[in-house]
Amino acid sequence: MKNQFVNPGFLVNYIRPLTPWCGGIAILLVMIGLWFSFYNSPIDYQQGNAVRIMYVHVPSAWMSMGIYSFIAISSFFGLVYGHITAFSLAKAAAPIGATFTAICLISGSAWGKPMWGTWWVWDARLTSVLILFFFYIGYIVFSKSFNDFSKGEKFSSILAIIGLVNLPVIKFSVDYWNTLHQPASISKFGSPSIHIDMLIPLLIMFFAFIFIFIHLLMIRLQLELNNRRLNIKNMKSYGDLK
Amino acid sequence: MNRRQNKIITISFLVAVLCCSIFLILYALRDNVIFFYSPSEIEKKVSNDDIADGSLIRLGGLVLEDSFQRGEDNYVSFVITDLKNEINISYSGILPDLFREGQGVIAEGYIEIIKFKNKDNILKKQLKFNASNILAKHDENYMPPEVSEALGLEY
Repeated sequence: MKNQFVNPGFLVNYIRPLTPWCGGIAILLVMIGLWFSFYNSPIDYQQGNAVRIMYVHVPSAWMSMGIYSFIAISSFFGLVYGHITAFSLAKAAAPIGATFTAICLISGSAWGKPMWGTWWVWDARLTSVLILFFFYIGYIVFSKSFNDFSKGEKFSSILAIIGLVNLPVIKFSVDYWNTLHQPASISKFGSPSIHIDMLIPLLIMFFAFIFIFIHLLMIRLQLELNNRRLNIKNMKSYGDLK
Repeated sequence: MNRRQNKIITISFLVAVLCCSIFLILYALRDNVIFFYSPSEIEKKVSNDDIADGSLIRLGGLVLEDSFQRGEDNYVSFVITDLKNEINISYSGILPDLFREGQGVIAEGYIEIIKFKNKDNILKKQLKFNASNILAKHDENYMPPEVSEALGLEY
């Protein structure tokens, strides 16, 4: 049973019928979440309507960190056990994670201008998230810059594991140093300092983003596995692979 | 199996070394990684002669209640406090929407250290801060206005 899921052919047969369902759930959740965040959530006592940017910004920030951990863990299993599926999962997830990080940076910038009075500052939180974005870009570029697939996978996996060090820096940057960015509201000890009417749309959007990620990951995993097959075929026909 | 264990050990060692080095780098840079100084930190640095007159720094704290004054041509002055020390700020320009008395703000600008002798002939230092940019901070609390009114917060 365990080995079956590592087998790419078996996995693709298993996830192919699930893909449209995940997409459907994602669309439904995004619609509900957007309705909540635009029409059925209160304004903030300080920030007024600008607080609605949070419902996109915060879930995409969580996704960017979660997907990076996923890539690093997959890369670890790929390196240690040599599973094709683990490498392909990591490579399939990278552009999705990079997009979520970009959404997080852009929406944060759009939120910062009206509230803080600036698009961008080099404080610890903002800078460490930008570094995370560069790690994503580096991973994608590295994994594609070798003719030999397996070489690119190996080097980019090491890069992904190195970048894992950045995640605790992002998480704790707002606690250890003085930053312009405010500290965490939800993932902290004690009760969350966010009103329940604002927490509900935030969590719906978070689950919507998770389903978007799973949906895209399923599609991209099939693409990566097919790419790999093509690459091996090409290498055989050019005589690179003996 | 042995090769697999070797790989796990190598990767764990790599991550551990990296964590240590990143920690040491950030620890060594802790004075530069922070985005702003509090008034107390600046007072301490000025008394230790760590800050030269006219240097560009960022100062953060709360706007002291009843200290905000508006002058001509967008000129404003107020006091930033960390509830221990206070520094006078002068600024001319547009203030962010969240700027209020009691709000956390960050002032970016040049510090002026005025040295003078008081009547007992002891050298004193007085600080003036000419801000070129004001940023507003907001806290991690999110709630509707009705709730904040019920809690007795003034905004």
